[in-house]
Amino acid sequence: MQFDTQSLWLYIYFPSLQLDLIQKQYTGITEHDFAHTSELRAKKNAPQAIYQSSSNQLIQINNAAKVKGIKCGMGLAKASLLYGDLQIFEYKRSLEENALEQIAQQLYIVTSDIVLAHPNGLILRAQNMLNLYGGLAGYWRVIEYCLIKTNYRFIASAAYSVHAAKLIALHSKQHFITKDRSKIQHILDKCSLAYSDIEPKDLQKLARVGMHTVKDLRRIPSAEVAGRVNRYSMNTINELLGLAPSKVKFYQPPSSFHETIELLYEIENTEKLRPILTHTLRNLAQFLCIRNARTLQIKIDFLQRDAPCLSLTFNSALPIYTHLDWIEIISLKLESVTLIAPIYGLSLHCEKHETTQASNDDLFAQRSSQIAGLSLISRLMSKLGESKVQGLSYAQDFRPERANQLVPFTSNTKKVTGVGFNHDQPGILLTSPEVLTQQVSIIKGPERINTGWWDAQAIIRDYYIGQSQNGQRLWIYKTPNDQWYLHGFFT
Amino acid sequence: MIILCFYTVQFELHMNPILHELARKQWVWSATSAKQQKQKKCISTGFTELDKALNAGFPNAGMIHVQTITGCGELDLFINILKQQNVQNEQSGNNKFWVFVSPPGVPNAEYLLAQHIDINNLLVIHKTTTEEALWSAEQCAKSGACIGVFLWQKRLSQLQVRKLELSAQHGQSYCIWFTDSKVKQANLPLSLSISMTRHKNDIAIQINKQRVGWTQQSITLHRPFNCHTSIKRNKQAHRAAKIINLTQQSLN
Repeated sequence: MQFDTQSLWLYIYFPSLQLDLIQKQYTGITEHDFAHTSELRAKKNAPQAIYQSSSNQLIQINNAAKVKGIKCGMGLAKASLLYGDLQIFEYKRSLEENALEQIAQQLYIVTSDIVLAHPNGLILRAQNMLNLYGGLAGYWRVIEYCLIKTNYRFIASAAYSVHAAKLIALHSKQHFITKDRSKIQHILDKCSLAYSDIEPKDLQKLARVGMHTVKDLRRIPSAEVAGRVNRYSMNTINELLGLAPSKVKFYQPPSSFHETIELLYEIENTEKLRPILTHTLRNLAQFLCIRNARTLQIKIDFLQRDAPCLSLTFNSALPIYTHLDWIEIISLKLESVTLIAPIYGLSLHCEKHETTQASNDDLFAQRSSQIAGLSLISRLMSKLGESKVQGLSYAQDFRPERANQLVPFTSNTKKVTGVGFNHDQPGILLTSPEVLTQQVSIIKGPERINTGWWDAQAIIRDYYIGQSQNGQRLWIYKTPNDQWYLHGFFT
Repeated sequence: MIILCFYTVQFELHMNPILHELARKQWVWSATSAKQQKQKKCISTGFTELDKALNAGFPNAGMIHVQTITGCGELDLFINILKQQNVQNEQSGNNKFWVFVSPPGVPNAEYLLAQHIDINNLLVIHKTTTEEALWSAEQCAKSGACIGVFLWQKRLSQLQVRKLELSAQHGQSYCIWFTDSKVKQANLPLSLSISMTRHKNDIAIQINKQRVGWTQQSITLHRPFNCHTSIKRNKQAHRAAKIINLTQQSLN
């Protein structure tokens, strides 16, 4: 999409996304896992760095590492000479991209037009939000609050073009939020071109003719610059100088929820997964809450060390969204799961969700027990497995085995209506008829059932109701060759 | 947890802190409270004699222990009583579940439909271990979404019974425990414990224990077989009886 050169843009730069992500996991865990608190806190405060192997440089370092004299851009050898116990994590672009998307998701609640500038930047179109929030100051306050909550370090700047905003954000070490064109121009003039999207080859060419900053660029007509650089770099320069509109593609929030977490230490006990799952489920709850949705099913993949990934699906009979409801179902099911290998990560997926139906029912009547019933069934099914919790179905058939069948329980079955049920039937049927071994006196009978000749499961039986010596009322039958069987009890 | 029976004046009960505590837990009752029980919410069984013996009827929630062999009409009795309770719920569209935990067979849909029970509200929990069965019975009784939980178990410990009793009280439902074991467990913390035996058309009910009230002499209910279909006991039945005797004699 193209925009005029009059729009105000915000660029948010996250200088140490991956490192902050690791720090965040420590804080997330120490909140719940008291057994490891002191150990983890020590680890959290140790010097850490992110290392990019392609350039053989440290690209993100924490404050503790800075104190030891380690700087960004150092090689691995130099850094380890300065401090031997430096914790090093390899740079993973995908992690940063995921984190960025999550930040965008959070920001989407308060602002409309977001552009992902992978791997570590976000662009917000502020212009159309200014009226809503009553000016830039109000808008920025909301955005800042939202970003601080995410616990990532960030630097933001405002300018009248995407590239200019980016350049200022990367150049300056603090937030630069203003609408004043002259102020923006003033700081932009000082920015070095090295941070811009101009291709390195063209940067060299420009440097050779003494153009290092934006101010240098502005001094000569753009036609002259155009002769020196390629088309892509020229577009960047034009946008930077506010001569051409920005072309961007806005972020669209996903329709399904996916989250992957890598654990800091391996977990062998399902009980210990609970705090981590709670954390993830809280994000899911927020995701669903914003969409006014609930879900019936979630899937969790447990990544196991040296073993295939364990995929579990959790179902609820009632659409729910809160993490407390889900954790209850999940922990019941996990009780019966034994892990064959330690878990080093997990990912949660929720593909389908449905919009919550607004209900204007009476607060105390009906629905409460309906909901209690459905949540009871979810609880039973997740603990015992679906095969052990069953309902009953009735079919119009004379054969008792056919008429009466156990089926998986579903909450939305049709009500069986009809008249003329046989009232003289026992309350409990045996799963398979047994040979009659006791003396029985007959109360009623026979009732002949001769049916099923059409589907090769024919039965010819004479049913009697009998009473045994010790007072049991039994449902018994006789086959054509005078064999007696017990089929049920009149309980 | 032994029920102590004290003929004691009311004020003494309040003076003694231990007695007061026991009374609060309903482990001690005074003879006067047996009379008061009648005014409390009780569920009529539909049989005058039985109601009289039970001081007005079943307690309004809790665990009922039924000692009987399968096939004496025990389920029928309870379904008929609980069904009346459920009429109000059904009228307001409030569907509560009937739960069968580890029954000795499969509940018969046709029988239940004839009893006007919606089989969609039926839950069968089977093929479980004892722990699982008890856990599910407890969950169901506690949830408040069930009219009654029918539980078939041979023996239960005091702790297990206590758990079920509390959850049934909590969910204001019944947990009805059927057992064919003849061993008498006197000190179980139950709301009610009865034994049922059938002789021909009569069901004898012995009240082994009730929360407030005395154990009673056995009561006899006349429950003849009610034939609903038109074919009644006839000659063929007699003939069949002869055949069955003959076959069994030959078996012996």
